[in-house]
Amino acid sequence: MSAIELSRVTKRFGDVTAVRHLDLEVPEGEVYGFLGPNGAGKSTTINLLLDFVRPTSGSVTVLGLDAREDSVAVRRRTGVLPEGFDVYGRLTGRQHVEFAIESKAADDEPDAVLERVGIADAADRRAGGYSKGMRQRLALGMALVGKPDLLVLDEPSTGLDPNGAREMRTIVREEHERGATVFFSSHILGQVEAVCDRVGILRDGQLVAEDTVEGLRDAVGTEARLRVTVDRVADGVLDAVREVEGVSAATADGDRLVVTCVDAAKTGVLGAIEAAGVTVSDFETEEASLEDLFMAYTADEAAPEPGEAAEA
Amino acid sequence: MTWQVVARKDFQDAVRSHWLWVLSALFVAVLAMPPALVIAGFIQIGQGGLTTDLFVFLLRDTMTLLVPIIAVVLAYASITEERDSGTLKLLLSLPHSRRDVVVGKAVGRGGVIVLPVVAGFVVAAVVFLATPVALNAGPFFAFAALSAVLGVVFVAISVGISAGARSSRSAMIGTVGVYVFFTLFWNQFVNGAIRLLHDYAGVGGTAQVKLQLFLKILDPSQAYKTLVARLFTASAAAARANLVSGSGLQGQLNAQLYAQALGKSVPFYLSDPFVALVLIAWLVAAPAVGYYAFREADL
Repeated sequence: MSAIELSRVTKRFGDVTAVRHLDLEVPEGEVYGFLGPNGAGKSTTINLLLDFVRPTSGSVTVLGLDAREDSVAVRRRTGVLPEGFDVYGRLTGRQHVEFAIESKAADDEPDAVLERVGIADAADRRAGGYSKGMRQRLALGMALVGKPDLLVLDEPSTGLDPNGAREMRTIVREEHERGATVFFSSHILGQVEAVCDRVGILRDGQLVAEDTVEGLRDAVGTEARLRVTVDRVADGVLDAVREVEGVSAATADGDRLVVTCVDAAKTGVLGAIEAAGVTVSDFETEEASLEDLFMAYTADEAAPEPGEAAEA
Repeated sequence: MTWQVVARKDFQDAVRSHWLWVLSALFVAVLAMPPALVIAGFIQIGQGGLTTDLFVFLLRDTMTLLVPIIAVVLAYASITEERDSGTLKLLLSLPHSRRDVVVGKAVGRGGVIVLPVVAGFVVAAVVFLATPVALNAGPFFAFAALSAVLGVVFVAISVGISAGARSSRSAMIGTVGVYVFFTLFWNQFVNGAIRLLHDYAGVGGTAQVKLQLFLKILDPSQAYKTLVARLFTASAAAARANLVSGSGLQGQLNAQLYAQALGKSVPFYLSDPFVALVLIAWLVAAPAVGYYAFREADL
C-alpha cells in the first residue's frame, strides 16, 4: 500500500495555482525527498496531506485514508514537523512533549524524547526563549511521539547548524529502520541525497523529475553540460534542441545555450542548432554534477517536461 | 474527541500568563470590597436583619459591566493568535479535529474566567461571615453561578468569532462590535422596533410590553440581569419588568407598571427557564457558527 498518494491534485489560492495536476505516490517504508526551490509548492503539498488546506480538485490519500474526511485518523499515525510553525512561548519544552503525548494517547517518556532530539538540558525552560534550531528540534521531538507510521518533515534542517542537520539525518535513518515512511522536503539537494531512497523535484507546482538518487547519479554520470556560443538565440532553437534524443534540458543564457545531454547527443545538438539557422561560434563541454542537474530542473526559466530525467 | 487535552493545555498556558492570578485578584477585590467596608466601618448598617440579598442587588450592574469585557479581552484572540503566530500548525499537526480546537479553547478560556469569579464570591462569603450581615447562601451562590455563566457565554461568543476570523485584528473588531452593539444599541433597537410596530401594526398594551421584554432578553447581558433580578424579586414578572427600571423613581414606576401589565403569570418566552435557554443558546450557537467557518478555512 502507498503511504502517500496524490492523484491529479490541483490547489489554487485565488489567481495563484500553487500545485497543478500533481500525481505523487510514496510506497510504505520509503524515504522520499521532496525537492524544489522556494515557492515551488512543496509546503502546499504537505499542507494538503495534513488537511491544513483543501485541494481545488483531485484526491489526496494518506496511509490509505482520505486526507480530508479522515484527517484526525491520519494525524494519529503521522508525525509532523510543519513549516512556518511556532512554539507556545510560555510553555516549557517538556510541557510541549507532554502535550503531544496526551494528544496522541502515547506512552513515551518526555525526557527520552527531549534527549533524542538533543534539548534535554532545556526541558524546563520556556520554549519562547529557544533558538530557531531548538524550536525545530522540539517540533521534531513532538513529531516522533507515538512511533508514527509516517513522518512528514517540511524543511527539517531550517535553522539547524551542520551538526544539527546531521543529527536530523540520523533520526530519519533510525525512523526508516523502525519501518516508518519518511516524506521530507528541502530546497537543498545535499540534505536529501544521503538519506533518500527516492527524490521528486517540484517546480511551479508540478513534478518535473522523480527518480532514485542512484538513478539521478547514473544520469549525471553519463550526462554532460554543453555550452554553445551562438550569434543569436533564434525562436524555436531551444525547442529544436530539446527534440534531440538524449537531451534532458536546454536553456538560453545571453548569447549562449546551455544544454544538458548524454555524451553521444552532442553532435546532434550542434546539428540541430545549425539547422535552426543559428551560427555556432564556439562550444565547450563540462561534466554535470548532481547539483547541476537539480539546478537545471529548478533554477532555469524553461522547465524540462516531466519524466525526462527518468528516461535519460 | 481530544478537546479535553486542548482545554488543559490552553488553561495551562493561561496560568503561565498570569491571567488567572490577575483576574482572581480583581474579582476578590471587587466582590470582597463591600463586606470589607462593613468590617472597616465605612458602611454603617442598622439593627434590622440585613442580608446579602442587598449585595446581589448592588453588585449586579458591576458584574454585568465587568464580566463580559473581561471575557472578550480574554478570548477574542484565542484562536487567531495561534493562527497568526503559527502555533496552530503545531496544534493541528497533532490528532485534534478543528472542532476539538474550538471546544477546547472555549472550555479552557471559560475556566480562566470561572475560577476567578468563583474565588471572588467564596472570599466575599467568608468575609461576610465576619460581619453582622446575614449570608443568604441560596441567592448569593446563585448570583455567583449566574455570573460565572455570563463569563462563559461571552468567552464562547468570543471564541466563536475568533474561530471564524482570519486575524486577531478582525476578531477584535468582531468581538468589540458585538459587545458595543448589545451594550449601547440593543435597547435603542428594541425601542425603535416597538415604536414601529405600535405605529404601523397597532401592537400596543400588554402585547407591546411582552414583545419589548422578549427582545431585551435576547441580549445575553440582559438575560443575565433579569435572572439575577429573580433572586431579589417576588415573581418572574417582576424580574422581567426589572429590565426597564432605569435609575431613579421614574424607573421604579416603569418597572411596576410593566409588572402590573404582565400580571401574575408570564408567557413561556418570558419564563425563567426560557431566559436560561437564551444564555445556553448563545453558549452553543456562537462557537458552532465560528466552527463552521473555521472548518472550511485554509490555514
